[in-house]
Amino acid sequence: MGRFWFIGLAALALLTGCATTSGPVSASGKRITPATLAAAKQRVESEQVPANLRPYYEAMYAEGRENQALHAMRGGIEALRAGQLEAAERLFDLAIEDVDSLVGGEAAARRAQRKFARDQEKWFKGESYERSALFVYRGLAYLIRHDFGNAAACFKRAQLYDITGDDAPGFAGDWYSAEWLLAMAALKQGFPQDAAVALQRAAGFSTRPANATPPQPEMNVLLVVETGRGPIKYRTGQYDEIMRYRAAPSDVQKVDVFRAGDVPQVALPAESLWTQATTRGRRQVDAILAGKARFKEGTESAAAGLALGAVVASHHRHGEVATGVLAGLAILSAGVSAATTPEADIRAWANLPDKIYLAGLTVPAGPATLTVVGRNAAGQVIKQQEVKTSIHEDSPLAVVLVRF
Amino acid sequence: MIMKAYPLFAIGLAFAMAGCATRAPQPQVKYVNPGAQGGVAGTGIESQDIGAAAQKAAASILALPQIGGAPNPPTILLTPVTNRSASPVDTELYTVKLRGILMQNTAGKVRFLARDVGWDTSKHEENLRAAGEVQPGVVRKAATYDYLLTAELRGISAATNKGRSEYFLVAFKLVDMHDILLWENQYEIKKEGNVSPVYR
Repeated sequence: MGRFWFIGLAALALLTGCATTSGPVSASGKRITPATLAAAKQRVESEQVPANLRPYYEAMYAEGRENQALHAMRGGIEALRAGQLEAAERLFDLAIEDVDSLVGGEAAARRAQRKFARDQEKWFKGESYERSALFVYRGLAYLIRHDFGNAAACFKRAQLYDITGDDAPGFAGDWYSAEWLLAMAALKQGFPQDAAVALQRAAGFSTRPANATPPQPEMNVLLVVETGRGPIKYRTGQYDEIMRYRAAPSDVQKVDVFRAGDVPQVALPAESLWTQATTRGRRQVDAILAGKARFKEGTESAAAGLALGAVVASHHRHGEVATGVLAGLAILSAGVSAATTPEADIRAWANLPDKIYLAGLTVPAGPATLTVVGRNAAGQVIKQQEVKTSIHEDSPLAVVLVRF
Repeated sequence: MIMKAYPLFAIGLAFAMAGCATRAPQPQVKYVNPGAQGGVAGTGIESQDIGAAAQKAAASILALPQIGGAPNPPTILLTPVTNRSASPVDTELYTVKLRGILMQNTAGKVRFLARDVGWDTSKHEENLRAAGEVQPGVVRKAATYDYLLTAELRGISAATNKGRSEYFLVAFKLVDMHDILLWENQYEIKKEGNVSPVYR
């Protein structure tokens, strides 16, 4: 019986992955020490970060560079929705620094390809739809500042980041909202030709909405309505090596905007982030993760076979040497298998919307009240928000954000 | 025999524990050369690109007889950099940088109008003087320019699931008060980079 503890150990090693860590962990699954967390909180306190943005800043400071862009994206959109423009710009620019970089995070990216390193330890740069969304939202912030040149640059860059696998060539650079907003920015810059070219490109997208109304130079209000929650990433596969998306749409299927004494205007369902996420095609990182999974399976099978061999050997007289060697190899193989980490990276820009609606309005100067209405598939009003704004005569564009 | 198996067990355990519970990396700060390529370089336009283009432009402008050979230093108004590329840039920063480099390289042969710097303050002070709230001081007569220098950034960008390629054209134009184009020069920048397979 004394010999069987080897096999017990082998089985234990085979079944044990990483031990559950107690206390706070980063989005990458790393434990955050109390000292690191306390330092992050202190830094946030000293920087007088607004209360609504503190969770994002604390996470950013505590979790290190690999999750900087992740929390900056989440905090940036929160700040933009709350009207904290400077904070939104700062956070989006932090995220862009990492996303745009080809050199930064290279060592972590190389490490992430190894069998025993997790994919989620690389710098977070998001999936294509998250990178494109980052530039769409940064572009909106530039529109609010009336920096139409940089807004246009961001909308162009959103298309640049919408890359797809070789199996989904027709879906690259097909963000309808980016082209529509680019056209708006170009009109405000005084480049109608650029606007026309952008809309011409957009007309060829499979993602274009029906009866799309183009932006006009005289429009001075841009309404942006967000509905639902963006794609939720989850893991599947034998070793959680496959990343998939789950949709979290809103019941709102149509958005109208009313202004006192004016006819209602239908907002354009300009973008579905679910569609963008799920038309990306095959990722090269999937092949890397599949390779890790195959290696894990192979070493796991080897460990089981060796453990079985050790059991058989233990029943033979004078089989101690063989039992010891086989059990040792089984433990080693099981250890290697347990240490192999094929789990897909499912860190996500969790507070993105499911859909983005756009409407351009021409509103006379002075105080204005816009009533934004969200309807379900049956046409019933299920969401409503009144937006009071003031339109200045010399202001080329006011941007109004509504979250349903 | 049992004792001999301990190292194997230890190795197995070490592998099993690898990758678990490590400390989050700490932020680091270091000084870097502002004219050098950044440690997080991408294919977008960067400060050193504008700086290099501005230096070439300054040398070229000084070679113009209307500028380099003028009896009195002509005054130039530098308009904000226009961005028509696919790379967002801090246009104000670039305008300031461009003016700084041009000033350094034209050493007293050209004067630059800085309306963005003192116009509002001087105008406010003029109103205070007119209202008698402050001493009258000298009569303000703001200078005008002889030439307008514009800078425009254009670009062509392409990306695949393997990498990115970006081409930028920085175009400078010097126009006189009669809208005559005195000088135009262009500087090209092209950058290419591969994306790590884990991000493809």
